[in-house]
Amino acid sequence: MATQAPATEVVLRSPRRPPVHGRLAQSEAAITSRAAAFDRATWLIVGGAVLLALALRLLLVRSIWVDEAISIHQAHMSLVGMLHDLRATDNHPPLYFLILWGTVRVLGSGQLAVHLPTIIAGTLLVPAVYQAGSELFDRRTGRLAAVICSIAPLLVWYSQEARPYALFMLFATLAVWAQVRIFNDGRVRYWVAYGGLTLALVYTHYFSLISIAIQQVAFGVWIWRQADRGQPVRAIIFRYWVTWVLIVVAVAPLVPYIHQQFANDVLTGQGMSSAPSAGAVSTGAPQTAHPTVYGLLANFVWAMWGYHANSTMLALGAMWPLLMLVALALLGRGRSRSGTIWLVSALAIVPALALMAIGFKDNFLFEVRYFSGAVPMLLILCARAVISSSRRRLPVAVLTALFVGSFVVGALDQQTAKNNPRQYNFHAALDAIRHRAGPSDTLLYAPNYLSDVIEYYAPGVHSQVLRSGQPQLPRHGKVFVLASFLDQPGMASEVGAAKYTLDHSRLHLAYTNHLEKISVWEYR
Amino acid sequence: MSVEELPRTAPAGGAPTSAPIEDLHTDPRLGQVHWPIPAIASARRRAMLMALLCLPLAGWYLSWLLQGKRIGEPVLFGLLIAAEAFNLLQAIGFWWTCSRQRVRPGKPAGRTDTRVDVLIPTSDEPLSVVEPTVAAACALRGADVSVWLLDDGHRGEMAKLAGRYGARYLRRRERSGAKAGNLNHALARSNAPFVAVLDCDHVPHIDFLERTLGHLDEERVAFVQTPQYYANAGSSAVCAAAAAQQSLFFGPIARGKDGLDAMMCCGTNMVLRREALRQVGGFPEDSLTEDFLLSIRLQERGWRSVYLSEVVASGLGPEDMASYVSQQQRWARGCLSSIPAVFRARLPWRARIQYLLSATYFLSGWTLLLYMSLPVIRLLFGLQPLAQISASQFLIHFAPYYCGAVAAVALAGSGTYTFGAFALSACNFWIHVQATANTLIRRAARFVVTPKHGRRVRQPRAIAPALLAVGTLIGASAYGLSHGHGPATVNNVAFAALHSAVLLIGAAPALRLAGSAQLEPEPPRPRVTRPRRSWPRPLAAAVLGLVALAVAAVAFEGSRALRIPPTLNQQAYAASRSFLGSYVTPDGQVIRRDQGGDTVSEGQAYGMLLAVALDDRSRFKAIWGWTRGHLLQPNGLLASGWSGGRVSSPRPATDADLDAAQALALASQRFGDDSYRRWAATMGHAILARETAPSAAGLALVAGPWARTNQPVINPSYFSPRGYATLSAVAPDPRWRTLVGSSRTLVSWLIGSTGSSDARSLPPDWSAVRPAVSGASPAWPISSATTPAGPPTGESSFDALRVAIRMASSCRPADRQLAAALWPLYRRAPGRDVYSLDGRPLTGLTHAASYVAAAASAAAAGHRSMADRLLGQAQADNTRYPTYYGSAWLALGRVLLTTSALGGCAS
Repeated sequence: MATQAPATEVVLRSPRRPPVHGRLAQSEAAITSRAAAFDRATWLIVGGAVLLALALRLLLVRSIWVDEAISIHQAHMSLVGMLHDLRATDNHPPLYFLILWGTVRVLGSGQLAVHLPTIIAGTLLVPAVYQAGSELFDRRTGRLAAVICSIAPLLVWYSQEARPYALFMLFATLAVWAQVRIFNDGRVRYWVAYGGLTLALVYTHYFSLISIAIQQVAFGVWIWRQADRGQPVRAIIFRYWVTWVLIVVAVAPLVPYIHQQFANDVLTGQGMSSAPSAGAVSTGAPQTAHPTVYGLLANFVWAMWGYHANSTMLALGAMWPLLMLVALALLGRGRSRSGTIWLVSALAIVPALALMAIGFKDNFLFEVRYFSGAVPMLLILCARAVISSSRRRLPVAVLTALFVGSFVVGALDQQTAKNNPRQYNFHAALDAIRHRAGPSDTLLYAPNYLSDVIEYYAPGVHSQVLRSGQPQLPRHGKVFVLASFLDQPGMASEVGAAKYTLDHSRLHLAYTNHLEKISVWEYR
Repeated sequence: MSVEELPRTAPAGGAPTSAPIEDLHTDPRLGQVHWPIPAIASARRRAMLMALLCLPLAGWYLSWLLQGKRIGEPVLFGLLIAAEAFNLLQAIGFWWTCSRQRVRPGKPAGRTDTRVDVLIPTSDEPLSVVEPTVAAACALRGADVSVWLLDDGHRGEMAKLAGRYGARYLRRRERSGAKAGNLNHALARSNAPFVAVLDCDHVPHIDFLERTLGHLDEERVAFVQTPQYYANAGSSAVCAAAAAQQSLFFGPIARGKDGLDAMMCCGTNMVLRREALRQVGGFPEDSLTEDFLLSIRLQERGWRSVYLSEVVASGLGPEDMASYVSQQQRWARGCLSSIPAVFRARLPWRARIQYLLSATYFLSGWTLLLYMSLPVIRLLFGLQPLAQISASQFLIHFAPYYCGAVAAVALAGSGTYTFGAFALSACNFWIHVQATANTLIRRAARFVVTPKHGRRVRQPRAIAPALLAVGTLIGASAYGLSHGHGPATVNNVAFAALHSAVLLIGAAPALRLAGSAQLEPEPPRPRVTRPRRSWPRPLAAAVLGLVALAVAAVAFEGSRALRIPPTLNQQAYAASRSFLGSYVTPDGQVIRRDQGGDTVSEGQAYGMLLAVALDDRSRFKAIWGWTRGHLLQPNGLLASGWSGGRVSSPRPATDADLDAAQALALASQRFGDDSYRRWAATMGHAILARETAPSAAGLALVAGPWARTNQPVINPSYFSPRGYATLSAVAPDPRWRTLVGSSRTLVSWLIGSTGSSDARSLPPDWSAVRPAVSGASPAWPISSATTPAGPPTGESSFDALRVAIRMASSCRPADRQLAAALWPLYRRAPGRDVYSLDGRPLTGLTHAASYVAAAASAAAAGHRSMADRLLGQAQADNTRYPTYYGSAWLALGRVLLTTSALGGCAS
């Protein structure tokens, strides 16, 4: 019976090779020279990608939005006060907020300052993805993945948002890298790195537990395979358990924190009900009570090409037959027995499916930001698919260009489209109000969770929330009405009722300003 | 038949008498074999698990599909079901076969008489192809071998070749019966108890007989088949893909057939028992696939087969597209011709099913043809097989089945079946169609030997049908996109792109220079004159007639949908199609995609009116079906809101009720369906009973049942003189005439003009009206429908803009004068989204619907060119910022103002 010839791989980085002489030495010198050239190319590409990533994250600015304003508000509290507030009202672990708290203390709360931690994390993600991609597959994959990550719309988006998602992605990627280093090398330093990164993940986002669980399965399979091959596993198991004991000890202080958040029902959705997730209803498809396949498609599009207008999302969703082509293209692929492809696939796909399942309880949780830690793995997988699509250079180059081009278009549309349902231009709206309002004027706003945004952008303006029923009008001065989330149930009628009262008061409508998802009326 | 046999010059199995074979180092058949055989227990378990997973998924999909309400276009639906059923049966057969895999070990002969005649038929293959085969055959171990080179080419170099290696050389004067005739000719002149058959390009390994012969120790085993392995898979993309196809067949499928005792012989790399051959009269000469028919005849007589899944011979696959096409044409034609024989044969049921599965596989091109046609038909004619489905519903049922089926193929083939193999098969779908047609009309065919070396030329002719299909798909996509960019269109364009991509990937190797550079090319084959066609038999004629009838029916329906109704103009037609294509799902739900993705009764009514205008009966049926199924209330009125899978607002809105009833009344006339008339009458009576109230202007149309308060709330844009007139015909009642008058009076009060002078104000969105005449103002604007009536206030916005359109489209001059009276106000700043009642624009924003309103008042005032210009601006605005509401009123405005598609006015 014929046998399958095992795939061979040239390993260039063996640290303890014996010295060689003669023709072999010459050929090794040639290899080393090629490796150096390889390194130069890598430095150029990855370095360029890092610079591009930093530039994009610094230049493509957008307004602070509701969740961010809440985070900034919390960061202005005392440390104890912030932690208390997080326990009582938020649904995230504290690591990111501690970083933001420190940033605000050092750099103030300007828009760039509060975004700085995520901009740095988003930029560091590029070399991290390169390292992970190289370690998981090869350098070409790593380099393409790095380039993709520098422009990937979703990664750009969350690098500019004062929320924990950029850190979530960074730590998740580095944790995978550390794990693969353990598989390939096994030195203690990588166990330490893995432990530290896993700990950081737990302290950054609770849904990281899904990817952590997948990694434990991978550890189990790896140890089982090692044992099956007759290799010693006792030391590995010992290090594994030591790492986990340390992680558990370090996570212990978080337990009462989590307990209180659960007790407050924050994690089960109540905490979110006060501020709707931005664009959670923006798949463009009819809304349903449970996750749908279209929801899954929308999340996939968001993960790959970012956030877009409803009409664009509908058109992209309608292109689902092309996914059949992807399924067919996978025929005859993935025969690698290394298990790497399975690990990356599981890390890219399972979190989304897990949250889809969770979505049947709380639909709003089925949204890409809650499994954003999986997005870099998805992009590495895509880079791998492109790189290994053909043995010939031209098809790979064409596919790479198409792929990168689609990301560029996605990023441009995401950042510039006025009808992007996630774009809330509070900055412009409140700037205009701030410039038009005097000390005796009043800003009425709805819904109530805009208070922190108003405090951030128009701190000097006297403001009060619109209450249901008749608003209490000030006796003097102009009245501004700021309304957003008008597509939320009851919101439009509440604002309409207030406008009706104002229309019949001493005031008359003098100015109207409709910005992205925000309306402003000025009565004088 | 005359015989010419040259003497042997060396004993069989002896050393060759000449120099070693040239090009040994470059002939891929002499290289290493790559043929993984999985652990059989796990392979069977895996196949069983996949079958257990896929069967419920298939049931889940088909049980959903086979519901009456899914029927869209009946002919297409029937064809789709037939295709899906065929594919499912093939898939079930595949899962079943794979779950019964068996792997046998090689078995050396245990008998004393091990004489084997090794027959190597050749026709016109080059020496370099045949020589390694003859040399290797002469060197076979494990038996007393006589090698026979059966040359149908009458070439001297073949005789010399046989002489060099000690093989016997045999040739015929008459080449009847093709390969089978050649083999039978040799059988008659040889006498060993066993016969090995090797195509001249298949080089046996030295242990070929040592691994196979022992299986013939069992008395009832007629033959041992071994895999056909393409050693030249690396020579071209076509060959790699063909090799991947072979690996699936000679992998899990052949092992499974063996497990079911239904393995067939495959023409080469096999050892047969002479006695079995004798009993069935040798190789059948009346078939293109003599091996397939031979297997049936042997099994019919109780002989058994054995499959040895090890590669014991390495051959050459087709290197270029023309060779592949030629091979597939022969296989398809031969297997399809054998179907009657399978039915006639007395075979065990498992064997019969296996033969049927193999033969009918060559019908699968028809299903691909259908799948490719569906998006084309949808894009060109708007017809589709399914109705009342959403993409999400379809995906949730179809995607798991599809993914399961693809995964099953991938797993069963252990990853050896590639996308390239699938694409190559798909791009040659037409071979199955051609073979079916030729089989049905019994067109005479000839045996064509598959060329062994690729020709280093581009072969576009070999893929011309695939390129034609791609051209059609791209053309249909361009046509569809030029008529709208709605999700339904995009979805079908994506399907077209999927098919195009697969076809192009499959066809691409034919457009590249291909073929082996290592081996000399074959000489061009002489053209053979085809025999005259036999006359189609009645059965063939009937089947072809049915197919033609189906195509004609689809084409007729399609042309009906394509034709612009004479009552419409091009722009109204395009706007209406655009709205229906963009906002209406296939099951008839009108979705406000830019307003939270919900559905309102108003939108359903717009969709129904536009479907009538387009003369699109199936679309109207779908929209009304959805409306009736989801929004219609027992009182005959429509719930106004649907969101999140349920009625979100049960409160009826009079405009929607009135428009829907009007659409039903028009549909009953247009489509001749009396049920629509009855529904229109029911709704009309409900409107009169529940959505009118006494007012200072007489019985007035109020905003809904909820608006019949002490001071009824009206929305003047709900007044529809056209609607009253249409409904008075199907639900005769004097109150319709009253509504005509009261509507006109109320509008004139609200705009401060009876039509003879310019309006003082624009109509408000909402208004309150006194129930009876009194000294106070009889009607006054209010802020919104939900706020209590108060002092005059309000805006003229998205609601009120319809007043001008409805009045301008009325057949009564007095109504049109009211619309004309608004023109001076609209003229100042046409197209703004919100106006104060005195006509000042309140925002800088524009909206397509507002341009249409201005156009309506301009048209009523006699400014036709201005009206056209404003409609053009509406079109441009809606193209830049497409909205549901703008699209709806752009279409309705064009239909109502520029056509008579929704009922003209008697002159």
